[in-house]
Amino acid sequence: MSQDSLLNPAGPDEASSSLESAGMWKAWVVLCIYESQRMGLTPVSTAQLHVILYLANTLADLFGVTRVRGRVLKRGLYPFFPDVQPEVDRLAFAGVLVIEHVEFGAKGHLAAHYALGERGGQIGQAILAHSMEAQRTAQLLRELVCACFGRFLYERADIGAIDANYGDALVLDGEVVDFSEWRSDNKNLGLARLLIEKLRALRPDAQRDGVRLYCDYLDKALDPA
Amino acid sequence: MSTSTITVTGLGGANQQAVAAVVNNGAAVVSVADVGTKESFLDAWTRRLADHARLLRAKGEALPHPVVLVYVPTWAQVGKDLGWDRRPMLGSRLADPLSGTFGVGALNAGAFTKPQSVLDVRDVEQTIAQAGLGSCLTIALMSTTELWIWMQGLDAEVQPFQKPLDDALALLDLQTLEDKLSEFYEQVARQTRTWWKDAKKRITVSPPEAIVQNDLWLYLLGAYAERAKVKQETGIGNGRADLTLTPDPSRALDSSAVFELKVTRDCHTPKPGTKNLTKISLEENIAWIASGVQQTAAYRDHEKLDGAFLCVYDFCAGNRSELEKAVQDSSLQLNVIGHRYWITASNEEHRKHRFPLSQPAASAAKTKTRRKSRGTTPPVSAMPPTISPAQPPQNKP
Repeated sequence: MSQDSLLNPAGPDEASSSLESAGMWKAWVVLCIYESQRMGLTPVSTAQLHVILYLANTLADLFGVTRVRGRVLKRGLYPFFPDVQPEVDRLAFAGVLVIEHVEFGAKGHLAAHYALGERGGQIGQAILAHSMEAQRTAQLLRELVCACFGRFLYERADIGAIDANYGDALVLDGEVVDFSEWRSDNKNLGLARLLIEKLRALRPDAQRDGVRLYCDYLDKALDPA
Repeated sequence: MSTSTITVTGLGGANQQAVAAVVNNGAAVVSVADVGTKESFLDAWTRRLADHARLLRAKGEALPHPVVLVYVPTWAQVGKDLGWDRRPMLGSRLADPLSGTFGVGALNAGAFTKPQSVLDVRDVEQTIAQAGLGSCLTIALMSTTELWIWMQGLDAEVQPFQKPLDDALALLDLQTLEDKLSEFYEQVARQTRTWWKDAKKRITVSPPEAIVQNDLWLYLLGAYAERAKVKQETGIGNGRADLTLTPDPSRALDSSAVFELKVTRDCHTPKPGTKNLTKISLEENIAWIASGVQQTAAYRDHEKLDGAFLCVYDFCAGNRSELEKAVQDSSLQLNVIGHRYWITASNEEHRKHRFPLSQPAASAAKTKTRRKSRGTTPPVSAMPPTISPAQPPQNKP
């Protein structure tokens, strides 16, 4: 896999199956694992990876980052992108990521735990050097992985029911959660901004504190005690 | 704000009670710096260890062994290399037992910890030496009432910062902040090493304001992290305040403040590869001070803060009274708390400033030599007159 294919600009949501979109997903996955490893938080499980990628897409506007995907199928306990998983697997087979161990769940479900492979570090650095957008994306993912792993994500990834977008009762199971069609549709971002506004007296930083406050919300909603 | 007063609508699956809980307790989440930075680590762990000590005091329990956290940017690799235990959730729950924990980390929670507990100060020192962590920021909770912070690590010659922990926290008012600035000057700023590039020529490091500001930021974070947000470069109006201090909502009687830092110096620091010194005149320095007074007053009024401080770190030779007068006169006009802190460039200068003699040592030595050469002893009446405090000593490093 060449770095060019990782760095192709994102296409519209409709082109998610295109090479460009696949390339952007790979770049996001590599950056996510790269930042997780840098922060001492690898290995990252399949469920954790998909939750972080989903949250990063919903909160991308806070960091001025162009999201890769504005929709996810509502099915299961946490957001999962079925078409992204093959890209993750390809990265692992290519040695960019390594699978540190595999958990065998019920009914033949497998959960791989990923870390950065030998080539992953170089590719991560190349992506970061490529553009300011890549650096902002890395910053978003860094804040996100630290905010999630410091709290709920080590123990559970089932954020579906309490995530503002995914848990919306108006979207039925099996329907598409669309948080990009209209600005007001992205309820995660709306909640993050509401929290920033409520805590304005503390002069929050809109970018990083927006991410941290939304993750704090998830943590409190998952564990009310 | 009570939980019942918060109602959010149009936010999909958001859990109302959890939203209210974040609003009510969000101060701990709002950050002072990007994740993984020294400042963020210091803020989070000072707050956490102070809270942990408070919990132990409330339960009437003691802390049998120290708790030590060391900031290492590459903590994951260092922790692995040391063969220590990975504890990703360390510190995420206040009630978790921490006694005897020695960890390296960079995040607000989580660390690699030494498998064996550290028992006492000697054990802590040995661990730091063996792990090669002597130059890293170190935070140690030594008892339920005492927190120590080594900003530059145990091996640095800078004094550690001792933070008493007390349930009856005194009111944080503007006078307390003013005293803290004086303490910073005495303990950190009156040193001759890290802020000078060439002390003999009075050339500062570059950019001096950023370096002074960062040191003061760390100092205030260490002092007040558990009760206030101390932030750097907060955007206010059309500008950015150097430092702001905002009390947590639970400390409503504490004062908020903005700090504007200015550096006055005799010359600009030459760019790398050049030796040309560009002089800075007295008038330019005075104008610089005046701009600082206006800035800090504007930030205070724009954000409705309780106080505005102007801190002038004066690197100029001679401890000049004109600069002191400029600070006081301009501060008075806009109700700003202005202070000038003279930065000495040598131990000799420090001694002369703090322990002035009626006869300067240099001229005394000269007189002595002259006397020796003449072989006579002059009468006491021939000694030079006493220097008045207003007259700047002739400092020529």
